[in-house]
Amino acid sequence: MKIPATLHAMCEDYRAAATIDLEHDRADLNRKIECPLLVLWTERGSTSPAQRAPIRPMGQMFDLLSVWRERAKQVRGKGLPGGHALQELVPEETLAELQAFLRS
Amino acid sequence: MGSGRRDLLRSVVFAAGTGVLSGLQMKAQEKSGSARLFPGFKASRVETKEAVINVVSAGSGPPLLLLHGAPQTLATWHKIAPQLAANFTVVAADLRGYGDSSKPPDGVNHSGYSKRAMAQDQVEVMEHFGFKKFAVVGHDRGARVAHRMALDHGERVTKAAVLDIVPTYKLFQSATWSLPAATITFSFSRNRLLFRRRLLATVSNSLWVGRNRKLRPNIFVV
Repeated sequence: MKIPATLHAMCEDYRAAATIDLEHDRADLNRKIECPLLVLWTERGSTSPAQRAPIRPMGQMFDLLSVWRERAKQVRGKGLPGGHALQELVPEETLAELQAFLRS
Repeated sequence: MGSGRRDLLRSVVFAAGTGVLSGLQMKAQEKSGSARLFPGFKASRVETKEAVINVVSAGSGPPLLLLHGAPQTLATWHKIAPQLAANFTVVAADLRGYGDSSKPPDGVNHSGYSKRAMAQDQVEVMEHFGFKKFAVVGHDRGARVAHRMALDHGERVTKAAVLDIVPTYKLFQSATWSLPAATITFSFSRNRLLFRRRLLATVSNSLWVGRNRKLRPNIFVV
């Protein structure tokens, strides 16, 4: 892994989110995602030892279903225990929700 | 082997475990890591108009694209991709700029790393595999890409799942700077060294996860 190049690219990803992505999103504020959307989020957080401050779980910061219903027509979702990387920290629960959604 | 040399070797191994890897060592880890993490998956590199995208794929059934977040790579899907491949044709890709995908130029106003550009790459990847329509699951940055993809390529995306994000616009709209998420985003802009250290630790953790389950990736919310 070419760390300097990856680090720069990742910073660019975040810079894009604060600039050009917002422009694109602003231009689409009157549009909604047409296809079915599944939203999974952390309901109870876990704190990584490397993280000095605990992170509030997404589900405690936002009403995820309401937020996404502003952006998509067909929204369903669920809060799961575990930390931000649901697919690594609660893989069984994440898999079950994805399978149910994708097969429906 | 002399004891001095053994100590040196031990310190190198320790350094690897704690995230201080040289490029060469990281490359070796990465190769063995991918093979171990995705048994039965085919690794390939797909040329898109603006990038070369690294992917692993396997399975049969309806096509499903998996997009990782930051500071991760496609390796983040290793615990669920094999099970998904039982029912779907799974394509897990590194976003441009990440993992083994290429790092295109920044472009004007960071357009090289816009979610629009990233989504375009991945649509071309799925096209390469013969899929004009597909479902997409994204985590973190990958979920932002999935969101943009569902808007820009609505005719292609049959279903979308987003893991642990709110839309980018909403996030910045609600960013009182006390939000932990916002704090994390901007802390690394001010402190690249800390970010770099965390990035290294996370990458090495995900590569070592098969050997030491106590190690967990670090967490970035935004």
